[in-house]
Amino acid sequence: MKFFQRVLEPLVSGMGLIGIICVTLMMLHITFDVVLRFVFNAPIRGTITIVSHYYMVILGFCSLAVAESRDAHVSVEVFTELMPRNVQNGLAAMAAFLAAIVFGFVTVRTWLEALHKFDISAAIQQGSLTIPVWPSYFALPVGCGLMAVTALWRAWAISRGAKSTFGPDLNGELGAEELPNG
Amino acid sequence: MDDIGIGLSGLGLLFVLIALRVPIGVALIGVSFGGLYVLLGWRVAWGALAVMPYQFSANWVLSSVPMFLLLGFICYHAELTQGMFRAARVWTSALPGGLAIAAVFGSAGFAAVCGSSVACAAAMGRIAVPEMMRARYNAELATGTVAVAGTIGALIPPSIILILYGVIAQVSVPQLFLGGITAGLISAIGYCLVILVRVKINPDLAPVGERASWAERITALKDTWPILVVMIGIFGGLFSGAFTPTEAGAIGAFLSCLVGLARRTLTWRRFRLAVEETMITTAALIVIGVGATLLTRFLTLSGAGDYLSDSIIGLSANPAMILLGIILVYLILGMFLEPIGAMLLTMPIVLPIVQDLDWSLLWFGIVLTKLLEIGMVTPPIGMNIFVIKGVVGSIATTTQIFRGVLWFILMDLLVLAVLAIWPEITLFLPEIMN
Amino acid sequence: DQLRYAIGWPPGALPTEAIGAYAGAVEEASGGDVTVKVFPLSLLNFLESTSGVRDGIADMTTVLTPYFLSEFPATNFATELASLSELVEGDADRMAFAFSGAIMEYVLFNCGDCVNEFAAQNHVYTAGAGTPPYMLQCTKPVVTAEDLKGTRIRTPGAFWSRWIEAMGAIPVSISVNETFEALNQGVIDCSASSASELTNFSFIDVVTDITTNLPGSSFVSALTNVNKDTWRGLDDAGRTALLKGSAVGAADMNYAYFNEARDNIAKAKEKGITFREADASLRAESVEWINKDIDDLVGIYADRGVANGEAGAAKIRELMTKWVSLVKDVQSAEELADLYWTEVLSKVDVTTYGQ
Ligand code: NA
Ligand code: NA
Repeated sequence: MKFFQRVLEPLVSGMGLIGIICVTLMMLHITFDVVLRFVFNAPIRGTITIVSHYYMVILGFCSLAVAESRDAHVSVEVFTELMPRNVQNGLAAMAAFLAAIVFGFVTVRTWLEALHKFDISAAIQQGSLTIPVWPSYFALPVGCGLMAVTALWRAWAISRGAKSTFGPDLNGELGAEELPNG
Repeated sequence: MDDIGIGLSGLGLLFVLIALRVPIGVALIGVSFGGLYVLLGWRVAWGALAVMPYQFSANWVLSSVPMFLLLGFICYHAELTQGMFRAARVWTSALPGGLAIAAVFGSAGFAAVCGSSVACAAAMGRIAVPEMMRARYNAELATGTVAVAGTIGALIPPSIILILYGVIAQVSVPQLFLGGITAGLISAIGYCLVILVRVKINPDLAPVGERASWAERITALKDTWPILVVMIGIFGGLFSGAFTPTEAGAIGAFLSCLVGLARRTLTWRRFRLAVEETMITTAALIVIGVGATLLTRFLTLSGAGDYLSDSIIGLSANPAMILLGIILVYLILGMFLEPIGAMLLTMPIVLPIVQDLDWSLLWFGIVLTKLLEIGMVTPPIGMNIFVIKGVVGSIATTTQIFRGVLWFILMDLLVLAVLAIWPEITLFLPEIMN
Repeated sequence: DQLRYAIGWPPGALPTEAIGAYAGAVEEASGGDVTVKVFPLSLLNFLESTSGVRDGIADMTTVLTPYFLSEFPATNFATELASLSELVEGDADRMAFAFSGAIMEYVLFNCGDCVNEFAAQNHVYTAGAGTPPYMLQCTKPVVTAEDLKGTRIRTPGAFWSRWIEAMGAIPVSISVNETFEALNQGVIDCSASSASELTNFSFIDVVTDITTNLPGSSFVSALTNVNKDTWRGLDDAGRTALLKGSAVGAADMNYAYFNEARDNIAKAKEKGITFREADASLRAESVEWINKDIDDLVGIYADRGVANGEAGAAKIRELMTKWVSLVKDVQSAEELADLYWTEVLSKVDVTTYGQ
């Protein structure tokens, strides 16, 4: 299992890197589209499709495992906190295991759908432009698969009482707390 | 068991799983998938998993979420927010509890670039609480103020909650944003009144500070330019119709990067931190969102959704009573649940009611957001309270912060009543801008 | 059997009402054996329609085929030829009646590839319907070729994008929900839309000038696609009932659009919106381009795997001419439904089609 973790960590960091590239490109692409539209009356063609079918999909699904590795998926602790420590750990391990199963199903299903979209070379028409979108369908099984594996590893780590999260401690430097949504 | 029974059992199981600490998104996907299998067999359940995840996320309006998150996180980490509070502080220095009032206005200003209430509370907490403690403010007042003022962040645009609501209820996001401005400003004024009254009654809570000169006031304004530049960029474009929300978010994030670089407060490490937080938050939202769309299908196909909406509408012939009931349910849910989870869990049941009763979806979105934001500061789970506790360390206990918030919650309920009773207040700005 | 009809339009929308008529007609024709429950917007949105019916989440749905370029190339080739409405002689307002009939006849009896591509998605095609003609709804007068140059026009789909570019104007791809605001703020000058949008999206409150004979064409959907397993599970009488329903649904939708367009245009005139036609030379330029575009389409769709485009286009042109004369005296939705039934749908062999 230690070996498992050594393989997993770089994969999750890799996903994190893809996400960073995605967010940055998304910001720049949209900004330049708007600037070109106003200054030269010539927007970048296909922006809406690229943003929603590529950046959004890749960013969303590649970040799944990153969030899981930080235990950042939203859950409600108020009731379990009242329970004894070992019961809490048991439930946390079960929750992670359930996440692994659910995302296992999603991985297989979205993989089959991606193959289907590949077969028909799925594309979308924006204006007179035809934009292939089948590649982005593969972000789902890849992201969900890594999410499932990460959750499985976490279930194991929690049940062993070992450290069950990893990732660069970027927060440490600024002493910032996690900033969930809301 | 009949179909409705299967649907209701599924809902029951969902709440049990969530209470047992299963991530909300996982519980939603798992229960909906299992429920569809029991209801209609393997093929339908398996089929639902194929489309919903992709279709939910490949959405142009939803893509504004990561952009607004990035904007808020960059403003926060690159410290573009501090000038806002300093300016507010000198301008309110003559008032009783001036620093606390400044924290409220600082939050309202920061809210204009920040999409969520927790981020807003954290940012202002770090800046304003130490200043208030230095001026010997009462710790409960100081921490309670920033915790509750943070909730303005989700009302004044941009707002992640309003974007998600707009996507699901099919309401124009810029229109929702306009409605949120009024609700946010009314809340801010309400909080200031609470501070004024409390300090008037008990001046020991907040010792009188030094009155700032006009020269100081003008100087302080100059330091607000970073936020103002970004704010004008976003809102000018958004409300003139020149930008879509996604474009406003991206341009805002880009501008905040430029301003951060110009002020030399944005480092590569801070940028990475902001992006990483954006990713994690987006991923968490997408899982819940995919789960919620699956749940909608499950409740629709089982008939349990209709059954519940009809039962609720059947409870009373008086729409006002139904509204009161809905408000009570959300206040209770808000005690325990995180707001976006609470909203997405309940929309499949509540939206049909809103449509059946012919209420304005725009107005309801604002009332709902206000309700969810009250949940951010009510015990036992109040995300803003925990965040402020994290920021202030040993200055106040969680219980003390909850106690400090209590007065403001009373005002929140009053503001809520005003918004609920007079929809025209919320709808005023969206209508004149149309 | 209770069948589930998922529709991407909201409750109360015109097409949703037409699907209500469809449900009623199916129930009546089957003597109550087959009933249809309609789920407006709550079960599948338009982007989920194809795979949703494929996997049986719903038994029936409306597929806006242009959203599914790769799934339905042969059918989309045919739907793009709705621009023939600008080329054949006849009442412009009734062109959608004619094209709906023509495309049903084409898909069901003349286009094996169309039927097969639906079958590949586990769908059975049973009807088509189209919107009223697309007009230029603008905040400035557009009469001459010069007026069009550099004008920013919201485009609803591929045909219109090509037309806008060919006329030297600038196509803008935004969703219909954002169009009102964009017109209002001058981000765009015109929207290519049908008369329905005047009230459905409040364009009537912001538009000042409408050019009626530009660019034309209409948006055609596969109105009542049925899950193939559901279709096979019915007996012959059940399948016949569904086809009778399709005739009623298609007629109802076309006729409701037709009436709404007429009402909206009257309302718009009352509001002081100026209606114009393009001048002769611009109209001629447009028609000439559409003729050429149909030839180009054969090539565009050949790249997407649609063979014999030329023969297909000729066939649709022939059917369109036939249907224009069939629909010219239709006075009610009932008459139109009878026409769709007797001329096309009654001729489908329910013992073999879709099996
Ligand atoms: Na905000
Ligand atoms: Na709470």
